Amino acid sequence: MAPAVLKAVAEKEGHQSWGLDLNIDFVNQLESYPQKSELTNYLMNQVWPSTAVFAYLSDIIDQFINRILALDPDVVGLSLLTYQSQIFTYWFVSRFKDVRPNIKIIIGGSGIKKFIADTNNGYCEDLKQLGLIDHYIMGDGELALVEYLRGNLDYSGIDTNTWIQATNEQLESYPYPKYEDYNFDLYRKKEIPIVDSRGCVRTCEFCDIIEHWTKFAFRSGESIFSEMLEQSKKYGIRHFYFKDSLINGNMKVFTRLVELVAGHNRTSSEEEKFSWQAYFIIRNSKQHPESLFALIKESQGDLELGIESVIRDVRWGMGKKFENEDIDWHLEMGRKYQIPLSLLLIIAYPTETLADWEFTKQWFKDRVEYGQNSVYQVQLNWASILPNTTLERKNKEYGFEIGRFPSIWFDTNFKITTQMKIDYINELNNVCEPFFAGDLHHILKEFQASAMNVVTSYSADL
Amino acid sequence: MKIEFNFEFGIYNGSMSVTINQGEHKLFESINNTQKNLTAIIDLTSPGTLTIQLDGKNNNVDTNVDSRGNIVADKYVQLQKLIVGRVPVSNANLYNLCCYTTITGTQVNDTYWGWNGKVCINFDHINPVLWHAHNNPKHVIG
Repeated sequence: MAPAVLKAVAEKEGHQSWGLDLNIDFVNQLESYPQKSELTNYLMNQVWPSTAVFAYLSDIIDQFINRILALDPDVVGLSLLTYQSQIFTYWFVSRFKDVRPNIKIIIGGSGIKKFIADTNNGYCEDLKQLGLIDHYIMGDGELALVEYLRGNLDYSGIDTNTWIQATNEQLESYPYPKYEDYNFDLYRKKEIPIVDSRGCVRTCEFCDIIEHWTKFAFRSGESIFSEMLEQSKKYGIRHFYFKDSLINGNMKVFTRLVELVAGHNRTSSEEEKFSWQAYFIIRNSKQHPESLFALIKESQGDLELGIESVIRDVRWGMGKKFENEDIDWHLEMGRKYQIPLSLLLIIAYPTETLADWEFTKQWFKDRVEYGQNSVYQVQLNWASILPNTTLERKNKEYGFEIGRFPSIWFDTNFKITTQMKIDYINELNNVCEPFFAGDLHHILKEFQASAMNVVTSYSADL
Repeated sequence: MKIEFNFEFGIYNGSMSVTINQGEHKLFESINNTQKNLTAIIDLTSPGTLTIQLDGKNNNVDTNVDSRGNIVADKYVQLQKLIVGRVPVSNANLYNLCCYTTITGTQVNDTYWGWNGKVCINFDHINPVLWHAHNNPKHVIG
């Protein structure tokens, strides 16, 4: 959504601008490319490809550059979603600067670093030193881009590692993203992304979001709903995906939002009703009463529940301070009101024991009744030690060594081996199978494949 | 395509001259350079081989060797860095790219040029992405 966000910001400043989502074009073109895996392996892991694959990459780069040049811009801003865009961007800007050296290039987005809380800005500095880019923007671009366009290059966040986080008032004052240059037909799912908050109210030790956005900032329910109304009128899309870490960080705001959306849905025809999907934190039944779930149902919400561990003590140690009864409360409410639920779970967390694994398997077996009856997915995520997180800093206390990648780490006491983890993942996959909707079986396969990759890398690492 | 050559000059009894040609076209020339480091920037508009012509070395007097046979001063040119389309060529690839033919007819791959002669570098692509794909394999980014 960054191109649409930055387009709106630039236009508010009086600049003509276009927001192109080159990623979706690239992803769609790649789908039919026979050497897709070779190219993605290069772009993600720098495994050098054949010259034919490079020629294909070069063709796509030229295609994108021609699209941009047809608009005759003075400045090109590239927003990198993840670090996996870095290799593509490197060659893209090399070609771009070769064709049009006088057009300014700025890069930004969380992908300019390997991980969002990473303090290493080496990639940007290298590009700047080589003259491949003119400037880079750290952190949120909504404020820094405005300052860049005003010529204030000393603003924190422009070519610096430090940046200024927006306040609630600033979040609220941002113009709504402009998707005029997007072709929504290119996306698998037609939905409008919305930023409702930044940061988190919790301080989970494994999370790098709180290291990046150190304060929780949020918009009002009225502001978010107003954006939903305007975007749905402009683009004819009524499904919204809230992009941030949690939609219910501020209960007053969230309650107001679902009241407004539920009210809209009550008075709208079926096709005009809104629906939404968001990450959702679990609280107890006093804070999340049944009336709230009734509103979520009416507002057609789809919740991604950050459970992460069903072991109470492990979960509290992570910083997720809710009880197992609270999880059951959400499952029960989900089933009663038929709210789609996706459960997020971290597999083989460093503080988990073999007994915990057995408990986890049994926990899912005991709740199989919720499978495809509100719970349509269990997202199993391999425990990763992300840079600059509390978890990383606790490596000695927890007894683990970190490898080359966040997902590669090992128990220094060798009580739990990698093979044991792989076996556990496979067993848990089987246990969780009833929770997956029919078309989600590929997730299991992908997960098993990635688990095997981890083993291979792990062996190489040791 | 922008090409940047970063040369180091060994200055002893003056310096070697460097001329960069594409076919008949002279794109760069350095005669009587007095600085240790010199950068040549070329904008290549059509594909072809660049020839770096090296002259001005008298091998009888322009290399000073001490009684133990060690070179203590030398007139030479060394290609320190080659940047193509703003992307640097790795040292290993740079060495392989430089086909150096001395005036005596010896042909080697080297970036240290202590004899008169010529160095040919192939620029069969003027799109930096394609050039690096063919000539700068396993270039590591970051």
